[in-house]
Formats: sequence, structure tokens, C-alpha cells
Amino acid sequence: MSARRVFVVVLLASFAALCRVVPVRGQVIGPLLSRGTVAMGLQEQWTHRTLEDSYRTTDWEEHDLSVVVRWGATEFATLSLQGMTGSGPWQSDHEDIQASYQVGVGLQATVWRADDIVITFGGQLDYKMRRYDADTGNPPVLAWTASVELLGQLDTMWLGAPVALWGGPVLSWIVADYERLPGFQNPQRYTEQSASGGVVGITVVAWRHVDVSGHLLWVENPQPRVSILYRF
Amino acid sequence: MSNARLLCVVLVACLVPALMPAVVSAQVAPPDGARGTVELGIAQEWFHRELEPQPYHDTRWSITSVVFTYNVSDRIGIGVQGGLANFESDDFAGSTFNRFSVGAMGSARVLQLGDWGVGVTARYLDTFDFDTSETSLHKRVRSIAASVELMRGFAVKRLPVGVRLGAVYTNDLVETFAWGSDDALASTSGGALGAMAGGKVRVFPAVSLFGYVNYVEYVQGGVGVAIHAGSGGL
Repeated sequence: MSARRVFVVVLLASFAALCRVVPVRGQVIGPLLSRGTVAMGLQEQWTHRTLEDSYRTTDWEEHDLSVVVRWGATEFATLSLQGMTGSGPWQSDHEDIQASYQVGVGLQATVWRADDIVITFGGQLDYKMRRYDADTGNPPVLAWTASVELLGQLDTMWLGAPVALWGGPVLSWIVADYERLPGFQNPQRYTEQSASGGVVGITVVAWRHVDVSGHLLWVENPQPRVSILYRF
Repeated sequence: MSNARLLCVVLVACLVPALMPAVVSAQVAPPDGARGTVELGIAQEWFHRELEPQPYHDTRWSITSVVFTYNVSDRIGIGVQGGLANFESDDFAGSTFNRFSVGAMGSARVLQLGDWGVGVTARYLDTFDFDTSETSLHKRVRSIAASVELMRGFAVKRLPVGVRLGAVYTNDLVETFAWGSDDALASTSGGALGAMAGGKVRVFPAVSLFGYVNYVEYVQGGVGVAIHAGSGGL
């Protein structure tokens, strides 16, 4: 391993260690970016998980709009950051959301590369909070999601535009804490019923800068995501 | 205008490649580097404001966050900021808070004369403290800040150094949701003008240290460390 690569690994490891102090989390899955590329934009993601505690199961369905930043830190590693605050129809179908916050981070690294095919390993952590209007009786929710995936990526061209087709197996864990309503109930913790699944996606870069991406994550239930980013 | 829409407007405004010249600075880290420069770091910031009505005896808070900045051009910079923390406070006995911070920032160097420059920066930062205890004493702080800065770059023992000095405008809104109520007790500092000074030094080819001090009613500031990467990445 070259000295430069050792230096980069040490830097990224240091940053990861710092992130343990500030546990930011995220859930952006996508193709590996080339070194130095920065992409920023919006992602809409639908979540549909089947959660359970000791006594019952419940479905969690929602969708989020978040700001996404992706950076090709090196030729073999891409960092993703994700965040959003606010409430509104673009944040959820629930009209009674009082406040919503989300922060996250993901890191994707090359495992193997040959010509137009890249195999990467990625991991994401995401943490979110939802508060509903008190008169609805819906308790606030604090939830974190952790995912890892092994992705195969094929880079090709279509109508002169770079296209990446990618997909692979995914493990996705979720812990949702339904917090207490004052004087009413104790917090309840739910976790996923099943963590295993897969993802397939396509990314097209139009006009050299407009990164349009869509993918279907299937863990327990289908959960599509679409994004539009500007590649600088 | 909701917070999400305001955040989107700020971000989209920052994303516009702009015809006017600029560079990344933000409130947190000063401008450094040419087009394509990326800095990714950790910042610790302290705030101390005078609010009306006054919800607490003294209103101080601090946040730790990850800061990502990118130089869209040699003179335009944009950035995002986010963090998460779990903490207890002596001021709110019995409460346990989960803190979310989300922000966006942008800057432009509007004038450049040799090593000297004049820049403007703006930042929106939203922090929510979710109290998981029985009291459900949630708190939210929305901070808006903008500054006009005189900047200078030079070298000390071959280390690139950037310093800045200027005027800053801040407007903070603090909301307290007692017992999980929807209706917040809102307190604001109103718009306030003050002075700021900041600096950054590159201690290694890929590591920057930075800090700033604001004086707006009280002294506030921040320090941080960042990975510095040129247009070709690390």
C-alpha cells in the first residue's frame, strides 16, 4: 500500500472516530463517484417497515425529503451526508407532523474493480425524529436505521449520457422508540421483523451535471427512493 | 415560511452557480482554496444570547456538528452542517435530551485585491433538543446569521493562514415546548449587530484548524478541525 493511500486511510479512520463522538447518521445509497466529484441535491425516500416489540407488530409507512451531499473523497471511497428539518406535505403523508428532523452519514468503498464493473461495500446510519400534534394522540418517534450492502455497479453510456446500473444484497436494521406522551404511557421500543433484502438502482447523468437516480430497496416491503443532484 | 422551505431556499440559492464571484466561508470556517476545494470537519460552537421574553436566567448553548464545505468556484462557497448528540444539563435536572442540528451556509468573495478580500457569508442553523424524560421539555433554536468580512491570506513559516474581521448580524429564535405541548413559549434576540474575527491555518497538507469569535451582546465562538482536499479529492 502506497504512503498516499495509508495517509488517506488514516484520515478517513480519524474522521470515522470523530463521528463516534458526534454520532451523525445517514442512509444514501448510490453509485461510487469519481475522485473529487461533489454532488448536492434532494432525495425523496419512502419507508415501509414492519416493526415489532414483545407483544405486537406495527407497520411504519412514511416518506421523507432530505438534502443530500455526496463526495468522491478518493477514487475508491464516496462519502454521503444527509439532513433535513421541517414539516409539510413533502416530508410526510401525515398532515399532523409538528416537527421532523433527520441527519445521517454513509460511506462506500471499492472492494474490486475491473473495466466497467465495480464492486463496492457501503454502510449508512440514519437518525430521525418525528413529533406529531399533541391532540392527535400519536406519540413522538425517535428512530435510527443502520444498513450495509454489497453492490455491483456497471458503468455504461446511453444516448451519450453516463449511466450506472447497480444493485446487490442489503441488511437494514431499524430501532424505533415511540416516546411517552406526558402522563400517558411509557416509551416503547420496536425493531425490524426482518433485516435482509436487496436493492437495484439506476443513475443517469444528463448534461454532464444533472444526476438523476432511482432505486428500489426491498427489505420487508418495497421502499423506492428517487433523487436529483447537481454534480459540480 | 416553514423551516424546511426556508432551508431549501437557502440551499438552492447557494447552489446557483451565480454570476457573481465568491468562496466558501460560512460562519464556521473561513475561505480557503480554489474551485473544487472540499473541507470536511468537526466544529464545536458556543452561543450566548439575550432573549425577550427571558425563558431562563441565562441563555447559553453549544453544539458539536459535522461541517462540509465546497468551493463551487474560486469565489463562491456553499456548505452544510449537521450533528446529533445525547446529553443532560444541570440547568434542566431530570431531562435527557437528544439533539439534532441541521444547517446550510454560503459565502461569496465579492472583492479581491491581492492578498486582501471582502466577503459576505450567511448561515441558517436549526437545533432541536428532544427531551425523552417525563417532563418532555423540548427546545428548539433557529439561528440566522450573516456577515461582511475583510479577509487576508498570508503564510507563517510556510503554513497558509487566513484571517478575517468584520460585522455580523444574528437573529435567534428559541422555542420551549413544556410537557410536550404544541404551543411553544417563543423568545427571540431580535436582530442584533456585532463584530466578528476568525482565522484558519493549514497545519498539514490535508488538515486545517479554524476558529472564530463573535461579539453580539456577549462573546460567542467556535473552533474546529477539518480534512482539506483540493479539487482532485484526497
